[in-house]
Amino acid sequence: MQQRLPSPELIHVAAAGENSGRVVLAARTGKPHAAAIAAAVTVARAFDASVEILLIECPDVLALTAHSFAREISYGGQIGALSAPSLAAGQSAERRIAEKTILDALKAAGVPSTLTTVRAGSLEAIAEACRAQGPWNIVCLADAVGIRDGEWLNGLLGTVGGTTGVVCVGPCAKSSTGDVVVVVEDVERLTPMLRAAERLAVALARSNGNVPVIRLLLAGSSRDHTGELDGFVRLALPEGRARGGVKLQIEARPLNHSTHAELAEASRRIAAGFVVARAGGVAMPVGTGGNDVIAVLSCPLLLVR
Amino acid sequence: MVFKWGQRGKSAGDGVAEAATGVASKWTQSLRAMSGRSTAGKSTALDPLPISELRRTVDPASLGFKTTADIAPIRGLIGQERALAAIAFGTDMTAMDYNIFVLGPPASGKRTALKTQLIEKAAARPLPDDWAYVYNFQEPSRPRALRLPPGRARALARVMIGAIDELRGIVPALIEGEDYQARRRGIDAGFQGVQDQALEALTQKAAAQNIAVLRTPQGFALAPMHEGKVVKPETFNALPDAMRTEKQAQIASFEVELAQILERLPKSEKERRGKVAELNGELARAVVTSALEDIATAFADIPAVIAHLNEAGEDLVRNIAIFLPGGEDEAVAIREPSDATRDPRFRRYMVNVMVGQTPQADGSLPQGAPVIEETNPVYGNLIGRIEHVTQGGALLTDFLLMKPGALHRANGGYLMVDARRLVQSPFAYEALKRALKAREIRIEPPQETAGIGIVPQTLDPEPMALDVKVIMTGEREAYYALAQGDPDFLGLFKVQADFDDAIPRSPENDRAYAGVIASIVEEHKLRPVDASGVARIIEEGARLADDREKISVEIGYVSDVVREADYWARKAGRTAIGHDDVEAAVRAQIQRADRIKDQAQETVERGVVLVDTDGAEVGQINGLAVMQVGNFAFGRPSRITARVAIGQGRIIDIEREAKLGGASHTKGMMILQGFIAGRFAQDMPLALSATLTFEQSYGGVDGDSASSTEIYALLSALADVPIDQGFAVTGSVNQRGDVQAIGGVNHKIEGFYDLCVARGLTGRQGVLVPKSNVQHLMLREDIVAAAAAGSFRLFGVGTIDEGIEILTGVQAGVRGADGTYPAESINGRAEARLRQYAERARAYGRSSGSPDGVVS
Repeated sequence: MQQRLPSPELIHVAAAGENSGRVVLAARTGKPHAAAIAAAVTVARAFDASVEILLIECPDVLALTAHSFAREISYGGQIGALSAPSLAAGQSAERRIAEKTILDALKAAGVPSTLTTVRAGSLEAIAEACRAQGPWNIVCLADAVGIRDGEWLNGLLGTVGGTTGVVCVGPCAKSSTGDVVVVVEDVERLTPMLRAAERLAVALARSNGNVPVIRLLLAGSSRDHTGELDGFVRLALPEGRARGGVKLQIEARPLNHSTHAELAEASRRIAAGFVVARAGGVAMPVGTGGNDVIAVLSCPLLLVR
Repeated sequence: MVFKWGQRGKSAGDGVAEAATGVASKWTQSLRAMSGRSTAGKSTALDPLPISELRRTVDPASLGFKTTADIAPIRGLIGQERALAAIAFGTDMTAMDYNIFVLGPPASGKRTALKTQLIEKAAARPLPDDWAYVYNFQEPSRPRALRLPPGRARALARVMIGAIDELRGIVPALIEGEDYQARRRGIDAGFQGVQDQALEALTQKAAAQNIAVLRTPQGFALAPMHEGKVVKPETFNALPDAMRTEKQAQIASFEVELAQILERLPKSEKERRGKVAELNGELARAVVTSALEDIATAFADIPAVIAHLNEAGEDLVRNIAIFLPGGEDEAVAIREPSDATRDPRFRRYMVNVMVGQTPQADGSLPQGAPVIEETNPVYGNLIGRIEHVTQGGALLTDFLLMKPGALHRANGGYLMVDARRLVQSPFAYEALKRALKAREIRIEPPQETAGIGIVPQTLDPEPMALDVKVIMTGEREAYYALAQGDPDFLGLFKVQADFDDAIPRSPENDRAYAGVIASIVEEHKLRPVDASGVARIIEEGARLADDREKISVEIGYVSDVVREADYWARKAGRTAIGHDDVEAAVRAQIQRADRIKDQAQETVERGVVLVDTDGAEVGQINGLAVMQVGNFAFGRPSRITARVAIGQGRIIDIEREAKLGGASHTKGMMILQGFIAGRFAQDMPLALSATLTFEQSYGGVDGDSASSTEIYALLSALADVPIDQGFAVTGSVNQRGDVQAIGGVNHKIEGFYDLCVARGLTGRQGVLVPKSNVQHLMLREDIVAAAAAGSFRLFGVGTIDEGIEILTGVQAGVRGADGTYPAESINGRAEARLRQYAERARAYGRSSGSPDGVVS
């Protein structure tokens, strides 16, 4: 199943020719994923951007302690009382851990950063940050995205303005400096996706010392559609060198949308460093079932609006 | 520096001096004139020794070659048949307690000869087995010792590395493969889907009933929700009771459901892990079996290897995940073509070859048993060691850090070790004995065996069976010290191979010596030595032996002389080393070492140390000592004086009273006393008080080689007859007055000769040596020349009476039929003096009221 989002009137940061943008690294929990932070670093380097760290505390949980019946179910399945002091202490500890983890990583990478802590709903907090700094923001999610986050992610892409894309990682992701895979499902967004991919490929190649490579994975909705995409892409983009010395490889690969893991498997096999895909497309978490790409993808995913 | 008046322990033998002929020499006449004594007691003194007795020369023509290039080199030992037979016996005895101790002088070439002989023996013995240590999968702290046929240990180590490398390539490839991944995804997706879907379903079900599932730091919490937002408490509390109660009940129900889902997660994860382990095990068994089956086939004849392979295989199957990328760093490590032997994950599958025969260039194995010489036999070098690496401040080890010692390398063959170094190395000797007794090599930290200190984490490896013949080399003192001090020693080293210091002189041995010189020339690529040079070296060998009838086998010294002579020959532009070059080398050696000798002589020449070389004095004589400085010895004259007075028959050794005399010297003095008493006190008490001393001697005196000299001084004092100071004397004496052999006779003569030369030879000077020492004379050529010119003389003396006649020019005197000595003879005069003392003492005793008339 695919979800097609309404095409926003937004010029992609790379397509707009801007040399710098802004990366919002949003952390909703105290457990930021190392690959997510590394991905934020790569994106920041690719777009010569600083990183605004946004630590989000959910106000609803604290408010919940005012209910006399409120209880906490631990990860081990134990049901216990929910006290405001212990909850506040737990949140504070989570925040400190997240803050230190992220700041240390960014400092080590030499990426400039600012840090803001907000107590608000996560969508509202990110929307506000993007509204203040937009329009060329890229939102990086510091927490691993699971299948239960599909709805929330759709909400983010649908409601948060001033962003050109969202970078997220799944629980299996690892930071990698391999090639950039661009999942081409239609020709409309090919150019902005390709421009973003070029920058990411250069940034990744700078880390591993290799020639930057972009692999175009043509994923039509059917064999015929894939054939059409193949013809168009080869006509428009001669295989070989793209801009900035980036090497371009085209692979026509009709994906079976009932097994999204095939994309993840293809990415793993070529040791992809980043996957760039259309928001609402094949790589988009759907929030149901167990077959999301993100759940098994071994590298970060940039969902371009 | 101590004077050494050493008594040579050798048998004196019969005199070799030619029969004395002729009349008393001119000097004796002069002496008589000087002393103003009557010639009534005419001396029958001996003639000086003939020139032929002073040095045994070698006629170059008798050697039968022109230069050493014409003869075959001899690399072994010469004239050491007894020692070599002992070594042959010891090496033939297979029993472990028949180890060999080779004793003999240093630098005698015994080590080289021993090694040569051992190598010959070893060549006929079988190549010993290989030994290796492998990981003990049952008891990791106790590495397993594997014994393999020769050449197989390294092969096993190689193929094990190959197998691990194969698995390092195959396992990740299989894991990456579509088949495995599909099956793995199936497992993961099944479990993950179940868990996540259950949570997702619960979340949606709760949302449908306006209940939000919120994440907390420790888990989840449920809250009433309205239009997607959590209802505030005040709003909720404003709701009707029934509605609130219902919502709370719903929330409680969802909480229980959520708790049940979460409770299932660990069990589910365990189950998932089990499924994955099953999958991995299935894959692992196939690839591990494939990787090891070739090894098992190749080593099917060695059950211990097969057993180890089985255990290693099971362990590999259990731990197949070590070949998988487990993290980012690990992933990099896996991809890099690193050495499997260095990767800590694979170390337990490696083989530590302790002893392994390496094939030669043609692929064949070397032949014969090993001959190992451990020049630094400290504990670790001998027994082997367990090394450690530091990790996080801790000392860690494993079986691959075990290093073999000399015992491992010599196992099945021979081990040579220097006794002194071995005994001086802490724990090493005891460890060697333990190994020989137990017939096994057990590597342990030395502090553990001694039960001292803190032992870091270590191993207790299985011992290796030991079959080795140990050959200890050392000086005689070391052998005797061990034999006396260690009760185990003689039980373990049952064979002693005793190398002589010197071999007899004979034409055959002279030629053999030339062969040894030829081997030195060949080994060091020197100029050939011509016959005159060889003759001179043989003479030097005899001098080194301190015996003209023998040649020293200190090959190290001979080698030094030959090499230094080559230097002088090169400087002189000669193509062969000749007599003069050898002479130059010997002189240069002496010159380099004789600073102390020069200093000592200078003190005498300048009158600081009083030693006369002319004139005559009563109760005063020149003795001779040998001083040893490093390996350089020289003779030094010293004045000995005697004073006599009435007393109680006591002869006072001033050296002993001043605690400057050694035991041997004291013994010599007591013998002297016995001689005097035996000769003169048969019919009267010995009312004598005599004092004897080495003048200006402060460093201590030992040895009895001056005992004859002291008797001469005492007789001179008693007889009141002066001793010619142009003489120096050496020789010990027995109670019967026989002069006995001493050591260092050549050095002693040369020391006095050099002093006389410095002061000017008078023609009357000379040295009295024991007749039994004449056979040891191997004097310098300049002394021989001086003797030939009549400027210096040597006398071989058999008795005190012979000696005193030469020294005083007065007849010693023989007791006649009436029981008395001739009145003017030395003995007659001495007896008269003693009788006079006795009568005076008796008279003094009577006058002083002593009942027995004895002076008290």
